[in-house]
Amino acid sequence: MTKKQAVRAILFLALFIFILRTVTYIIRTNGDVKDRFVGFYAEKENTIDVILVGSSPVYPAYSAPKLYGEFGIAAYPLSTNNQRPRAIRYLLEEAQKTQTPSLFVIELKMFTMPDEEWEDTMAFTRGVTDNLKYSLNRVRAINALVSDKKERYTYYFDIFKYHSNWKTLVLPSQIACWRYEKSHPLKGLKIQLGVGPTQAPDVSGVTEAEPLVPEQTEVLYDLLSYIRESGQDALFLVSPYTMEPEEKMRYNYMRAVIEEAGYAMLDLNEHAAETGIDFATDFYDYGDHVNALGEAKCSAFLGEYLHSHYTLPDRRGQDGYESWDAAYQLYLGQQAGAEASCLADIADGKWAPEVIE
Amino acid sequence: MSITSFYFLCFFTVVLGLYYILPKKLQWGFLLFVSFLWFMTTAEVAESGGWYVVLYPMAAVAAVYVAALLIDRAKEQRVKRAALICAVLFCVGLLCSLKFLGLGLLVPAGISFYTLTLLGYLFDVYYEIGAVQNSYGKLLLFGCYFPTMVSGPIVRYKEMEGQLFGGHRFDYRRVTFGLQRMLWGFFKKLVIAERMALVADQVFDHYTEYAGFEIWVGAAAFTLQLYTDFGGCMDIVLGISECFGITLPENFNAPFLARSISEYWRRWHISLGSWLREYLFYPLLRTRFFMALPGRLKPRFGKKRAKQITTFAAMFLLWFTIGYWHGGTWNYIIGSGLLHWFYIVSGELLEPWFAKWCAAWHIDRRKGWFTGLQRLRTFFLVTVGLIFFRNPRVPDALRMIGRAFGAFNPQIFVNGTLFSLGLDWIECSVALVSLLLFVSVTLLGQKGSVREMLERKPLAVRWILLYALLFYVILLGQYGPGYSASEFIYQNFRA
Repeated sequence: MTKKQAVRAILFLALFIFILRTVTYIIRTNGDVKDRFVGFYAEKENTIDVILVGSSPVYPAYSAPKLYGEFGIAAYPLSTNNQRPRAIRYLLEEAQKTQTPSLFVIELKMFTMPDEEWEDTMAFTRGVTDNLKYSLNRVRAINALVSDKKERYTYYFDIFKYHSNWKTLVLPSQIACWRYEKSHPLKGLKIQLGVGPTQAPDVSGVTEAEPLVPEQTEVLYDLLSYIRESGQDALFLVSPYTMEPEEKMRYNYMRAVIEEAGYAMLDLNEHAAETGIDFATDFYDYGDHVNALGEAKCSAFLGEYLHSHYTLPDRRGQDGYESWDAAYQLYLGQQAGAEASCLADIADGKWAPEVIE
Repeated sequence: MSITSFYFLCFFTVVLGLYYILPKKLQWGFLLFVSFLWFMTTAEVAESGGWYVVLYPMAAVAAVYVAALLIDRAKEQRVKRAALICAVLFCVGLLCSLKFLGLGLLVPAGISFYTLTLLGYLFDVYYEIGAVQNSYGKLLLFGCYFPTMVSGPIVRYKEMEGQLFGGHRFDYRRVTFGLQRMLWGFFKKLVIAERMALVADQVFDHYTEYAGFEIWVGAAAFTLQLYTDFGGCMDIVLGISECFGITLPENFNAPFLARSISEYWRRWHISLGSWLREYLFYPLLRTRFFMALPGRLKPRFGKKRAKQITTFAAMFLLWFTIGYWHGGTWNYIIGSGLLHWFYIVSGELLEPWFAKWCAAWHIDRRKGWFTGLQRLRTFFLVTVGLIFFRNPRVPDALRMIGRAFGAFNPQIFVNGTLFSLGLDWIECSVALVSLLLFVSVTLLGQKGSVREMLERKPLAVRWILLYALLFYVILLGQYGPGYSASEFIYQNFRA
């Protein structure tokens, strides 16, 4: 092989890898999770101070635009559906590649469930791995999350999964993701409409602790050790939902472990009176996830809590935060509409359709 | 490990790299090692843990090796013949007992292909038209060279000897040509064959729900599936081997450009056809029975007709064998055997009348439109045969053909019914565009090597075309999680 041939072969391969990467980024399945992650990657470097991670309670409950507009806190949710706790440290690692957050906010709901329940459902793992840019951290995340080694290659090279999305190659919204960076107008927030009333749980009398399943305990300890080594602060969060007594016992166990490690844990269910959460009006799916009304209350409470317990800079008016101002203005408009819609549903007694079935 | 799998591509990349690092002297030994490594990863072995199947090809090669040496060294014809018969009986016995008798034993991959390859070598030694191989290891590589174990081609020793054992230096052009050939194979298999399979499966598996053109569309889809599947596999196999510097014989030459069924069989599965012709058909004609048959028939039918009947009788056995080789059941015996015998025999018998008919109607048989019609006829006749081939039972095939002729419903091509046969309109469009590309390149290939034509293009054009095909396959190929690409159809005939 001559030098010229070698150079040509390397060039061909390099161009192939570049096109393959670009095409994969474009055709990764579109939706709110992809939007949230490409939005994160599009953020200017070193502008975000708080990273929120966790599963589906996070992105409808905590409004980054509101935290910014009302408290000056620049926060971003790297949240995915049924996000496996094992994925969290890799998400935090990913966040720190472009940002220098001083606080990690970690939602705990998924720790109460065995991991194996979620590994079998590929979508929940892919929600994380297939929304990360290609990197060594992504490879490590896949190795940690996919135990079937024979299947890992379909995660490393996710074109194996997404090539059948080729029809979306022509969508401008997809093409815009060619670098996996596309600004999110609401900084990762998903405002939920609809009302699904439920009863407020009463687990205040549950004081016993029940250990987590062993693999989740191990993940929790591993995460605490990772956070300690990273030198950042962390807040462990439980979002409002219809908590069962057994779950409360597991949270009690986690609280002991977390507090022993020197971090705080905030259970919004214990602060229902202060947040003003009303289980009859503030959920869209009968007690699992909050709607726009609940989001306003959760965000306000979290903002106030962060403001009073942590030293976070007020980013309002600073250079480089123009998109955050725009996001807040957009949020105010959309939130007002969403709240009005929820209130109208409540007035009409029009509940979310799932319950009718 | 399927040759279209991700792991095979990794395996191939590593093996290719190591192959060219090694000194030429060691390359054949390395290929032998790799062939057995691949053998151990085939589904038959990997899923059952039955590593012992590796002993079957080793035993077959040992039998042929010893017999060939005896034939070569023995002076008496009686001994030579005894050695030949023993080795043939051993190999054919092994093949039949494993493949056809259903003894419940694990069947090694490629048994049909390596058995025919080894017997071809033995016959060549016996008839003194081929050299004898003194090294058991080298003969083992000849019999079990891994690319040919997937679905052939059935190779001849004299074609392979110099290539397999001589060693090769890295040749950039040859390796890139090999990779291009593999890419074309992936295109045929993953983009076309797998799409055609959806239509074929839908229609064949529910044929009682369809009639007329719906059946014909399904049957044509199966014909295209089989061709692009087997042809694609051959492209991948030949491309792999080309990367190692070893050129395998072509197994296809645009079979649907054939103007008759006999020509079709000179273009389809060429290595099997030529093997059977040389080692079965001609020797059969030289047996006492067939030598004497024209003489016995002459008084009743005349000299010319007696010879013709003798040939047809030998052909009957040949076609029966071809059909039987494909699976040993009547659907195969008829669909890829006796029906083709019938086509060829009736074609030859009717030829004089047909010639007269054309002359009477002033039809110029050299005209393009006539050639086109003949090619369509070939496609149609093969498709009818494949209806038997694809159906597990002959009565089902007959019923399906009955339903195909029992209705006239050309409206399915305009009223949307076509899109309910397994592919929606977008997928149908992809299939159509891919088939057009395939046909265009096939026609271009009749004028010369397409890869050489590509080589003469400017670098930018060449790369654009290659990237376009590469990403066409990556994006439009049917593979990946949630999708189970079917095996190569002809893999089923390897064991």
